Order: sequence, then C-alpha cells, then structure tokens
Amino acid sequence: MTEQSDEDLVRRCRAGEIKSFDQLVERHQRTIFNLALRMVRDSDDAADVSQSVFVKAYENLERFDPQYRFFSWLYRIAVNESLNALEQKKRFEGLDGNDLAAETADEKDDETVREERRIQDGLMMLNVDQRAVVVLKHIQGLSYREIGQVLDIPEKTVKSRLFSARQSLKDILKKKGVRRYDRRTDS
Amino acid sequence: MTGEQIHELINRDLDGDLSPTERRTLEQALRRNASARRLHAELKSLGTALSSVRQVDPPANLGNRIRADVRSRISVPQPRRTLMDSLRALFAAPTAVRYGTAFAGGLVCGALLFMFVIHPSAAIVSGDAATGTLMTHSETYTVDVQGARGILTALQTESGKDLTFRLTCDAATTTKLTYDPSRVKLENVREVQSAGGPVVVNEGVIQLTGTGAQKCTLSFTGVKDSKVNVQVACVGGGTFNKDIQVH
Repeated sequence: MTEQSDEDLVRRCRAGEIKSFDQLVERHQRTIFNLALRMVRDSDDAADVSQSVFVKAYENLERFDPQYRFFSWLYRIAVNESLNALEQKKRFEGLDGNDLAAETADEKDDETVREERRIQDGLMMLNVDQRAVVVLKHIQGLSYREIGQVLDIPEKTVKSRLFSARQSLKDILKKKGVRRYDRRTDS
Repeated sequence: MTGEQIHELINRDLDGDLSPTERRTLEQALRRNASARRLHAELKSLGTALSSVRQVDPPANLGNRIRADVRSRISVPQPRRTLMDSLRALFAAPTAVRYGTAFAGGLVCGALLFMFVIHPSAAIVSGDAATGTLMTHSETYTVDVQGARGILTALQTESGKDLTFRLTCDAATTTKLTYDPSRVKLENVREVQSAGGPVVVNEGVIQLTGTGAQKCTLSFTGVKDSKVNVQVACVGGGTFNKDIQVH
C-alpha cells in the first residue's frame, strides 16, 4: 500500500477524519521536536512547543494553502512558537538549569557530546533570526527557497542572514576555544 | 574581486549553490588569498559540525499528549433546540408523558431543595477519607490534602462514567488514574492538562505531574463492577485515593 502524502492527509483531516491528523503528528513530531529543541534548547520546552505547533496546525488547518508544502507550513508555526516560548521564558531567565546537557546526561560524556553541547551553546548566542536560518539550513536541511517560505523572507535575505550567522557562529565557537574553528590552513 | 564577493562565493559553495564558472573563480581566489582559504576551511568545518548534530528522540509520550490536546479541542456541533421547541414537543406528547414529565420535574426540584437548602451537607463530603454521596447520577469528592486541593466529579452516563478532575497543587503532586484495560475502555479524552509538568496518557494509566493547576475530563466505559482508581500524592505527604465504579 502506498503511503499517503501530507496533502492527502490534510484533505482527509479537513473532511473530519481526525485519524489522518494523528498520522501527520506521527510523521512530523520528531522533526518538529528537534527544530524546537535547537531553537529553545530545553527539552521540556521543546516538547511544549511541539504540542502547541500541532494544536495550532489543527486549529488553523482550513487556512493552510495547499500550494505550499505542509511541512514548510508546520516549520513556520514551529519557528513562531519557539520564538514565543523564548519570549515567555525571558521572564524566568536564570531559573532554568535544564538544558540539552540533561538530556544527554546518561550518555558517555565523550568529545562528540561535548562538541554538540558547545555548538548548541553557540547557537543560543546567535540572535533568533540568525539561529532560525542556521537550524533550518544545517540541521533540517532546507533549501534557501524553503527557508524563505518558512520565514516569509526573500531568498536574498535568507542568504545574507545565513552568511552573517555562520560568520558569527564561527567567531563565537572560536572564542569558546573550539580548536577546529581556529586552525590555520595556510601554513 | 572584493573580499565581500569572495565571502559570498565561499558561503554559496558551502551550500552547493555555485555554477561551474563561479566555482573556478572561487578556486582561483582561494589559491591567491590565504585568509580566504582559512575562512573557507573554517566555515566548511562549521558546516560539517552543524550537519552532524544528532536528531534527538522526542519524549515517548509526546504523540499521546498532542493527540489528547487536539481531541480536547474538537467541538461537535449540536443542533440548537430552543425552549419553545421543547415546550411545543412536550405539549404535543401524549397525556401520560405530560403528567409524567411534570411529576419527574417536581421530584427533581424537591431533591435539589432538600440538598441545597434544607440539608446542604448531604451533597458533598470531603477529606482524606475520600467518601462521597451519590447525588442523582453524579458523585462529587473534594480533595483537600496537604499540598493539593480540588474536586473530582464522576457523572453517570448511559454507557459509563465521565470523570472531571480539577486540582490546585501548591507542592509537586502526582495524580494517577489507573484502570484495567481488559475491563475498562477510555472512550474520550476531552481535556488533560498539567500547568506545571508532564502529562502521560497511556493504556491503563493517565498521569499528571507538577505544581500548579491540573485538570482532566475523560469518559470511560467498562464491564460490570469495573472501576478506575484515582490517586493523588503530594511531596508534602498528602494522599487521596478513590475507586470510581465505572459500571
């Protein structure tokens, strides 16, 4: 049996078939959770964001324009919900000690884990606009065009934002003492 | 070629966005310019590191949480019936039905008068002992333990029980509803929320954890003598435990 496309599931869901929405949740929850996790860092917050993304998507399904891909629309909601979560969290800043480190606490604390943690720390030091393009490009693997659709900005802006974000992230990681971004290649 | 142009070509190269001509131009620039080579290598290294960041599995209960939340927002449109429609239907009914309705209405009014005016303490019984009084087809229990207070209502339906639970927790509290899935079926989850912590909805167990407001509205059906156990446990030491008969 061939797998139904997102758009087919959306159509069925609009016709009142709630189980089709369950399939969309099943299909996209991991990606949305990871996008949120890289945007907000905290695993519990990312789960809350993911929950509200799907609830918002369900409540606004009638507004979804089928000329775009469903996942782009979902990503867009996810980025907005992540920004809202960060905004709300600002009020409680300093109280939160639960970060990605907690999620990997039972893993062997090897170099890979430490490097991922440093990268996540670096991402959190970018402004949210820059963080969004880096996450969408490098972690979610979207094209310039798709990122433009998700963030509702022209491709040209995507490129300039991405280029400056990469430069900033490289500089941040250098300052944090990550050697691989500080090596000389011309010697 | 300006530094800005080289910078753009380097970035686009990382994204695989260069035409063959642009690539040749970049290669020439890199051969001539040591700092451009360094930047190219550093950004390439950054891109590789970012792309190798692992995808993390979401919490096991996330799908259930989402499904429960989405279902709690589904509104089933009911045909609106006005008071006049009801009165018209009543007057059109056979005489026996009209007198029967009037008699039943009188009984309900009398019972309400007795419970809320003449002897109000009969309606609700509270405390850790968790006893309750049957009120027509609804049981209401107050939860008032160290660290948490609220109300549990069990409404008899045609096929089972609707449980509504509202709790305010000053201390970390775990509320657990457990049932035997071979005897009881969770028919409907209209609402499950815990402001201060995670919610688990699995077969046989619904668990809310955290400090703050906890609430849920659920429908159960079951075989004869089946029940749902409601347990509240606060860090402060308060506990509440009640079996609700489903059938």
